[in-house]
Amino acid sequence: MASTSRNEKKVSGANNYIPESIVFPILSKLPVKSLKRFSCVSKSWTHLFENPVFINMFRKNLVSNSHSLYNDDDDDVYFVLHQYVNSFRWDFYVLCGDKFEHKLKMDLPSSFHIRVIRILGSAMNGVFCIYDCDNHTMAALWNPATEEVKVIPPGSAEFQGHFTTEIVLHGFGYDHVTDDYKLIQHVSYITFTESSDDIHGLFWEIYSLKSNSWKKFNFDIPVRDWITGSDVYLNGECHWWGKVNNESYLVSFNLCKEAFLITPSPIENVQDGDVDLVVLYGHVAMISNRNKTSFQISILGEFGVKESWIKLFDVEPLSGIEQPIGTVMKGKIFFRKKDGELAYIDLITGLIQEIGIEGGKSWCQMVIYKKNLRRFRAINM
Amino acid sequence: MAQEASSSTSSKTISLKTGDGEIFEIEASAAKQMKTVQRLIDDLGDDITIPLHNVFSKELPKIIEYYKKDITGEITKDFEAEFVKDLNDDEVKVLFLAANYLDANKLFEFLSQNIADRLESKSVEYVRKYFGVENDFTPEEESKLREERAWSFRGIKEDE
Repeated sequence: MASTSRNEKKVSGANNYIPESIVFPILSKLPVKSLKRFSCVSKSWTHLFENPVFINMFRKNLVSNSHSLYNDDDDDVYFVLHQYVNSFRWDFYVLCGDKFEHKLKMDLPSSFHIRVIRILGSAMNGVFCIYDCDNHTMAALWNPATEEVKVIPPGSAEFQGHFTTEIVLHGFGYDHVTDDYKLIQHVSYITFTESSDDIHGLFWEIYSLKSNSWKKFNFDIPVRDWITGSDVYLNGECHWWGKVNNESYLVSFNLCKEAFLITPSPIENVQDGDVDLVVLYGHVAMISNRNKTSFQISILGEFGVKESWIKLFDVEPLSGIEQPIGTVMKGKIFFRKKDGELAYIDLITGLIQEIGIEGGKSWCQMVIYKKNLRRFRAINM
Repeated sequence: MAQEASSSTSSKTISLKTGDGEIFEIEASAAKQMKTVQRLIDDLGDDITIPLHNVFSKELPKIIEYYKKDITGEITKDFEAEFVKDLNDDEVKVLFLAANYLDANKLFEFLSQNIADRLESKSVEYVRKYFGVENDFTPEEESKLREERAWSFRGIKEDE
């Protein structure tokens, strides 16, 4: 802290200039919207977010003010690793221990016969949505603690000989207003001709566990740009990275209101798979990697506003990091390294720690899971 | 206030003299939380009255009140809310600057958060005045910037 040696006379209030070293501790506690407005205060204030001293303080305050969904001391919160073993086996493991060194295999319900399994989003109140990554037609909700499995019934998609039906699940989340679990998926019919792929019959549908049925919508939402791209859930909304007319957007779908908002990408020319989404300190954040050598982590300050993306971190290119499998808890983001080893970066210390487990290329997922003994089927009417 | 006869520092009180000549007493353990005061004690000894040129009789009692609660571990969210409830923005600022001068970290952090909360929905003009920052934009530059940041002005009452 600097001392106000400048002020010889009595501090009388608003008319005395206050040095930056004292102003920064105040400003770094403000939300992005206020800070962007105050960039109009003076020229030096316009460049606040480019000032490393300021960004450092801003980051520290984000960490201490973030109200985590899970407490750090919560014993029932784990990381679950989903991993490719061979073409016929995908295993789930719970990771425990301070350095996640203990791996406990989770048994999949025996009724589940999906070959290419993937987890959609993250575990919601201890419930996973797992689906067949091959064609997205088979999906189920699974609570490992209560051993409940609910196979999701098919939606309105039609399957006919003269076109290919493509179904893509986009999000899994919890509607806290109606105490309901929901899924959102996109359906399209593609006719392959010699000259082009003719896409028609597009629609979106939302599944509600409470009604155990799908409802069709004609939204004009950008679809996922990358089938195995990440999607996250935050505060009643599902978020994914979408593309339309070659422009990339963060799509935010509100499960309660059943409405959506798009935020343009802060970077141009996003290639497939360049962007991963995570939830960081209560904000939606993107991990972008150009050329797979260096990563940038940015949080979104205000939905819908392109210039409210704030870059928080640059991850060293020399760290050997290849692919984020992006789950964050306690400021740790998980990655797969070039040599196949899984590791996490501690965003507070900047240190990289291997966890002694190898991850399969492309199919490795890590999600946060909290055991929940409440039966989700109990909410079925 | 009489000084304790015991030689243990925890029950000893220190005399502080404000910039406008008033004297206040503070427990030695509370004084420890204000690094500037502690440094002066280390230099000058704890038996003489410590001069604080940049802190005045309006602020010091409030600061002493805060640290009195701190050393007994009684600072709660309710206490902090009550502590700033009747202070206007300028009064909080003066207290904040005093906490900075005294190098009283806990109070400094608490007040900086409180000021941030107060400024969150304020106008650009208000913040300029508050921090004594000069507007070095030309009118054209400023209106262009405001237009670019129009989204951040939504719902905010602008002065003048």
